[in-house]
Amino acid sequence: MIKFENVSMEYSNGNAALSDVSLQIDDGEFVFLVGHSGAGKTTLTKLLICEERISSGKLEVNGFHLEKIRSGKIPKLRRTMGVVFQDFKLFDKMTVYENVAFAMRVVGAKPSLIKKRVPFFLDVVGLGHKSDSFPDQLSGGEKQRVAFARALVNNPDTIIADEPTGNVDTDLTEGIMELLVKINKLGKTVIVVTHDMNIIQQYKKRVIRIENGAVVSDKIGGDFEE
Amino acid sequence: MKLSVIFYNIGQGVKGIFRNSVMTTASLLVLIACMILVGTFYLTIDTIDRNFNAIDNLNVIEIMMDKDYSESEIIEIGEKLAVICDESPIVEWNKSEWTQSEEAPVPKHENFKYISPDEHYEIFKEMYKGEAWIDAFENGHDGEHDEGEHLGITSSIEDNPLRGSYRITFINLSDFDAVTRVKNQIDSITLTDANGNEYDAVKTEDIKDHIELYGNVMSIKNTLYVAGLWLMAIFLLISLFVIMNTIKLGVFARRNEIKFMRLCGATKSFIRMPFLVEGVIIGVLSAAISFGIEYYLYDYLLKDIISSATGTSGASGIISAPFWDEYALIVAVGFLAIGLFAGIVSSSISLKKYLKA
Repeated sequence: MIKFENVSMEYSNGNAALSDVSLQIDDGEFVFLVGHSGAGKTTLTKLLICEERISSGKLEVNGFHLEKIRSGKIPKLRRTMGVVFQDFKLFDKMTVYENVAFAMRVVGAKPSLIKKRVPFFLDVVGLGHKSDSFPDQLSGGEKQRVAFARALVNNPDTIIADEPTGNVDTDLTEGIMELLVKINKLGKTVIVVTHDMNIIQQYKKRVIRIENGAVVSDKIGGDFEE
Repeated sequence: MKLSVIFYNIGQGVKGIFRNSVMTTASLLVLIACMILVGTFYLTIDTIDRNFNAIDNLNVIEIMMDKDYSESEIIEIGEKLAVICDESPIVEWNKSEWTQSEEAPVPKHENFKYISPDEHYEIFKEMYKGEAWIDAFENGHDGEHDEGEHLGITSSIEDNPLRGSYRITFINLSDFDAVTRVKNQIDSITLTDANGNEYDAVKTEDIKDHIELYGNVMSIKNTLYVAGLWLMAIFLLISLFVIMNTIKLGVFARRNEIKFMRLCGATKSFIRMPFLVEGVIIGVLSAAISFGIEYYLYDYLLKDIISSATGTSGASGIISAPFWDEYALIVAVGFLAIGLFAGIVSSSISLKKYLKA
């Protein structure tokens, strides 16, 4: 569960990035996070993975209380989340298999477990046959799916996808969204940060809109006005 | 930490070494230079120190008494010497420990002794014990072995040509100026004859010492010590700087990986380890190479340099260099410590920025 209680966040120069945000995302929910550039979406996701710290209020993420979390606990918090970046952040010198395995290696997973799980998740995203390919041999949609496999492989509770359809062709968007729905059906909480109003209206999920660092609307369905 | 994780990180560290081979080589060279410098200064200073302790009489002034001096003159000189030494910080003694007996008519102390001509003769005999000519001399036999005569030794102890002497042992060797002052005071000791005339009781040539050699060696040692410390500090800083930059390049090349690792939930120690391994490999490798070079330098060059710098010959036995075996362990441990320190500190500093949560 993710719970913001009157959360505010200011940068060191005094600029307020979020002010008095209160919201709750239950386990297994599918949420779109929308808003203009600079509205505070990225800051909000950074707070979730503790890349930034809140200035006031209370924030609970998957059982961790981030207002008082110690730095030694942050890796454990981050292991409960899988992040899919807009630019994929795949490593060019690693194969598809190695890219996914890397996410497991860095959390100290056993080699035997890596051998078991990586092929499984590559199959989940439909790239089992591309495990030996390098990122530059893949299409944009395939790269995105590798990024999803990498985010899923450590079995996180929550998946955060930052503009997952931003760098792919329109015809691949649906495939990626289907994949996110599939991931959500696996019981994972899915938070999709996006500008794409078409997919928001098409998928009829909960939509949280942020503007100027504050939640301006929070409703379910596709009748969302930008 | 799991074994597989340790091996994985060691592997990554080794890869890092080859990733920036030019900078790695530069780091190795600078660190090796630093270690060899430190090692050479240490070996030189220690060799000099050891020789200081090993050389008899280096911290001794011996004042030879004129053959014609009466017992009262010798005692009077002894008393004046005692006063000079008593006022000097270079001789430490407790006067209650002084002994006076019929055999030794003057005050006697471990650091202030009168050695009679007969005692000198016994010492001389002991020194050359086993030599054919001294045995022949002892037995009054002067047939084929007449080397005794050649050295000015006549036929028996009754004709002992050796003179009595006062032997003063200095405790505080570091105060070279004080030693020189005492020597000058001794040189100016005068006695008064029966007619009330003062005469020079201690001739300059009768003061035997190694003060000049001692001064030279001390001066070399102090210069080396100060220069060594400064150079060590400078080279260590340069080493840290170069290794830091080497590792920073590696960190920069892998900055995206590091960021991803952090976001995936990798611990700081996991992220740090490959770079730590890289630093440690550079340190240990430098230590090993430096050890080999230092061995060569010491065994083939340093001994000669020490000898020529002190103006003595190694063959004379005044200055001798200990065997390498005596130094091997301390040099190895020292180099390893420097290498590990440089490697670990520089890799930790290089990563600091990227490890902020």
